[in-house]
Amino acid sequence: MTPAGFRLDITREMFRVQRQRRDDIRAGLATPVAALAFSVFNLATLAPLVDLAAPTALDVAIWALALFAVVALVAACLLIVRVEWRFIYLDPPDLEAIVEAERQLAERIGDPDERLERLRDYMAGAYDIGYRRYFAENEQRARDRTYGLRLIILALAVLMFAFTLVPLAGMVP
Amino acid sequence: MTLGLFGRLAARARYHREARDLPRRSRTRIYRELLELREEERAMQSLLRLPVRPRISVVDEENIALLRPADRLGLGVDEALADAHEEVRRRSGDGG
Repeated sequence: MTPAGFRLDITREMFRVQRQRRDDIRAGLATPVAALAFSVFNLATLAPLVDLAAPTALDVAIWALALFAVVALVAACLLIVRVEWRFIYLDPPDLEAIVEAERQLAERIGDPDERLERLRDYMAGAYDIGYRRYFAENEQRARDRTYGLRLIILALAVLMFAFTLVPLAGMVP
Repeated sequence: MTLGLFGRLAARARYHREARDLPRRSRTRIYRELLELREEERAMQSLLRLPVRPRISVVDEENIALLRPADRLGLGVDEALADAHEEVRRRSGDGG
């Protein structure tokens, strides 16, 4: 294998891996979205248990915890939406661009083997640009998904704590 | 307005859109993307010492748009003009 062929193989493989990772990140949204739905049901269960008409200190505490959970869930929603927000895909040169590159190379390089090597480098360069851009975007969106999931878990933990206070509601004035 | 929204949701593209058919906001976003890409492509050409600059196609998934290198002029990214400006700047810098 020539060095240019090696460069092309490596960059193409890296590009494909990042492209696949993009779809993996998308598929990974199912877990936070399911947890989000579960959290909303928890809120719906908790809400009727709080009496804000004649609130006790405990009612206010439960309500404050629920409010904190809602804020965390809204922030998580925004992060999860951002995972899917306006993703721009980059593709290697299309056939038209490759043909044009071939034509330009033929004008400057007489040897067909050398021309092919340069064309391989041309493609390797394009794959590398795509790979690096995908890498940055994927990292950003994977981070958004992870932070979203963490916020949902935090909201669930807060709701769990709020539920533990409910049985005490009658005991605290 | 509601009908317009449903119309957009139900719309199906048989083929990708051209640069001129994109909404203004999307054109601006892709234009910025292309400006950055141009720099990347220039750096890659320099790294690999290529006589031809590698050129990337940009796909906007939400607008079902594919912008091939040849479509860049449709977005106002005139690379030949930008290269000429760059060359003039470089030469004037060398002279100074």
